[in-house]
Amino acid sequence: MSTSGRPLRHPNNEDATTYARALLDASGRVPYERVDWDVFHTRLAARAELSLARLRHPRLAPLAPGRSVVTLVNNVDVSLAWCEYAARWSRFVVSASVAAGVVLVMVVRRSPKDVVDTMVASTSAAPYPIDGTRAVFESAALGRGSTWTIDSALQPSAAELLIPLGRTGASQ
Amino acid sequence: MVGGFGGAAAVPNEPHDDERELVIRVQHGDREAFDELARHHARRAFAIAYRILRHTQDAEDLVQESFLAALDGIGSFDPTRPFAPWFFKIVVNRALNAASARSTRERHVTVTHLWSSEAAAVEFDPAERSEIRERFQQALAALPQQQRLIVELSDVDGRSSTEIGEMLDLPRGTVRWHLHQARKTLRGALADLLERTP
Repeated sequence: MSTSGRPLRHPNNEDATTYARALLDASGRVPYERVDWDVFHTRLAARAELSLARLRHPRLAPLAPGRSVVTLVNNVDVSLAWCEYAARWSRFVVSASVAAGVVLVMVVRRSPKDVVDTMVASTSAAPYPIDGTRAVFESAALGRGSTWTIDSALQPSAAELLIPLGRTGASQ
Repeated sequence: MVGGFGGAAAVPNEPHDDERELVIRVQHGDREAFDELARHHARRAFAIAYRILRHTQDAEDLVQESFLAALDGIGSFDPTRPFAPWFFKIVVNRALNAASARSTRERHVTVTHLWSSEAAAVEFDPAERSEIRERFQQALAALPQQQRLIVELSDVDGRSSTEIGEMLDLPRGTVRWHLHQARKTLRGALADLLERTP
């Protein structure tokens, strides 16, 4: 320890010695020996762990100071990557999952009943009789005595459906 | 809030590379670096805290709290500056706040205990010692807290002006001035006694 700046400690100066004794008597020495320094540093290290963890994970600590930091302390190097990854994406994933779940529930609850109801409603809610209109159109286009209908025109006749094997057989 | 000692840039010394490296490692949350830094400064911090608080357990607790406070603020600390003045300033300010929060009765008890402690047993005859105690009790109580701390760190603990300046974030010249003033006051209180001492 340096002794500069302490002229009163000169051994030949009796006044200084008396002064030093009196001051020591008044102030006492710093009781270093009353402190268990090993316990002190062990306790300090334990208390500092949370703050040190915050310094190691400055982005995680403000979000979850109670949980994230403490769980990371014992396995910092291994868990750093996936923890950071999980923390980064957790909000998005949770929000998206909740939204998707709500939409799914709404669709599942609406779909069967509403589709049937919609079909029934669209069928029954036609503003004119379909069969009557169709008959009027056919008689006007083809004449009252004709047996030709729209169905017969659109569908192939029995002759058209025949496979042309008869021609080969007739020639033989 | 009690104002602390010292001002800015009192000790212009550059920090050692080792200490700067330690501080940087602590800023990244290195446990071993923090432990090493704490072991390096704990005793001096305890001396300051004890000189202000006059209580071993309180001083020990205060040093721990100061280290934790330093740790919380070390992210914004410039590692190119010396760590010790910055840290000891935290200790001093916290100790002064704690001392001011104490009641007058507690302080009186502490002083009474101090006078009866084994550490205070030095070589004076009972009458002489009683007179010295009385004069020094009055003289020390009359000193400004900063001067009292400086004179105790210097003349009782044997620390240099440079070291005290580093601890209290004061220029060395200011420390020596306070030391001179404190010694002058205390010697004045002892003048009669010194004249009668053979």
